[in-house]
Amino acid sequence: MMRFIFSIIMLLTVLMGDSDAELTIKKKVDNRSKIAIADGSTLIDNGTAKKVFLLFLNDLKLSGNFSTDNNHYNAAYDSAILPSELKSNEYTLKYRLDNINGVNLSIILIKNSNGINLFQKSYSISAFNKYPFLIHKAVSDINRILGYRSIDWMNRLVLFTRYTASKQSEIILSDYTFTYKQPIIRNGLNLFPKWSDRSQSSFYYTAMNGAKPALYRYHLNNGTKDFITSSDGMLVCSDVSRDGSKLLLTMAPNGQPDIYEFDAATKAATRLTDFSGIDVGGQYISGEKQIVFVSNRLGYPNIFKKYLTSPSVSPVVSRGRNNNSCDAFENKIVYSSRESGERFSGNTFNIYLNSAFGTMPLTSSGDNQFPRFSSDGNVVLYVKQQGGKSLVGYINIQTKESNIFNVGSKVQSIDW
Amino acid sequence: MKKLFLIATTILVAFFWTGCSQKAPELNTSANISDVPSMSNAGVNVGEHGEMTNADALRGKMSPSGGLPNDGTYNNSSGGFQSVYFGFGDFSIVNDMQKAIDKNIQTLKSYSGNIKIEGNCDEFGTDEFNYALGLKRAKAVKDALVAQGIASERFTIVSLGESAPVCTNSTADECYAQNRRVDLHKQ
Repeated sequence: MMRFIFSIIMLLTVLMGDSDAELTIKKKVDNRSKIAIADGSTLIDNGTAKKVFLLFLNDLKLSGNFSTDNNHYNAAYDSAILPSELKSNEYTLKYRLDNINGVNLSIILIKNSNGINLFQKSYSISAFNKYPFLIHKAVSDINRILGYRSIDWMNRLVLFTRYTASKQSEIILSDYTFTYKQPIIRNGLNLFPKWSDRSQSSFYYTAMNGAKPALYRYHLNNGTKDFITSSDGMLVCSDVSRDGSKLLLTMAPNGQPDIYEFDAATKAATRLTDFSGIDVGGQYISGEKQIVFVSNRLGYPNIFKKYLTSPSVSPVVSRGRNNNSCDAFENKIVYSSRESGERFSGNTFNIYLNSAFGTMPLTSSGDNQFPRFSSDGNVVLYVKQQGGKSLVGYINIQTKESNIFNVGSKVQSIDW
Repeated sequence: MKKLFLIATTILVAFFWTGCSQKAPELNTSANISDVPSMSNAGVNVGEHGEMTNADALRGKMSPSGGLPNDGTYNNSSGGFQSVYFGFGDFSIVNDMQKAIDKNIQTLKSYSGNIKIEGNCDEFGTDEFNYALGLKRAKAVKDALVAQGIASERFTIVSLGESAPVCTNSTADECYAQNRRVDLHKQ
């Protein structure tokens, strides 16, 4: 009889073990370009010089298109002679950063086999602490010059909210590596920043400091803000149409959270969902004819979709018992799903990608939430909660390259 | 897959059930009180020592609703009001939560002003969903008070999501449960 029990247990173990079978990353043939980085800076301190080098190195690696020589070489910027140890690489990226009148970055991309300069450019920005943006721009330019798939997502500004005390938060602007961080909105409880246009010159956010939650639009270039609308209970801007004319808002005028489409010009709101439980987090899909959203209409949070013009709703995800966050790009959907049975300590949330090719996990351990597609849909940002702090990870869906950065405080929400 | 798991589990449970079955001991119903022999030192004195409390044991303090007991042991409201504590992911008024509603009704009998109801959540889940959950909790408390005859216009409801935790220094359920609450304040 013991043999019978053992057999059943073994059978169950084998059959249940297939849940992670999808998490297979195929090793590809390395056809990336070998590149070395040569630092020609003379006017910055050693600590900054090291940070600058590591940013170049990280950007090149995360692009998925370069195999990097990880040594921090030094070479005179204006000299045509390269150290011999660099020449085993196909290319050399030589740069010079100085902090005279703001910050200036000059780069030269050299083909090592013949010493020809393939690309040369200079960049500048007003404040020295904004130098990471120059590096991201330079690397995305080199990537483009060599004909690789665009990595312009590295140039995107990231907005996130962090809690600072009870009922207190601040909205911070950063580069994608969180090397540059600048608080934009302080004092009170200000939440859910969302870029309002593709140029990233302004963003929407929710202020919880008055009698009702209010939605504002903040303009980065002149520091002004416009009142947009307010609602009882809660108010969140979860998505903006590509032309910026329509917003998807979660509002609760009668204490009932539902999703509305809001016309930015006329300020008219059209109710899209009507459910007695919770509907939140609307995201446009299918050419903005449909939305996906999070709802507990099956008794637990899950991802659903509907046409804007139809009341019928259908589930998008059939696995997981707590799928509480999603983002969409065209017809691709990323969502977070709780994997662990425990309600409390040891929670595991993983990120999944749902596309025409099926569903695949993007993370395999830890507390991973808040997935957000890049503006080109090729990279997924996510927040990993770890010991009361947040890390932000990036997964390049195309190249499978990934990296994770420490934000240093708990992230409430994020957009890029 | 689930069906196979259920079938296999059922087979296992059935096996153990039949393997362990035995007749319940029969009580001796013939003896009566007078038959019990007299004893000295019949008091029950249990020695207790070496107690250790852990997170699992703390779960025993939870109310039937899965939240903290709504008997005044815990409170984060002001002005004589009693906070209402909820179970994980829930926003319904059930079980002992009615005690807190009754306490708040008593307080409202001697107060004619307006009341702010704040819904809160623990840190699990995405913050937008949590803000909605906090709102549903606040609305559930408001609806319960209105059902007892309090005018609806006297209430303002707001969700604070997970932005106003009371307990942040433990991973025990009792700590998280302090944050799954609705607070009431005089306006």
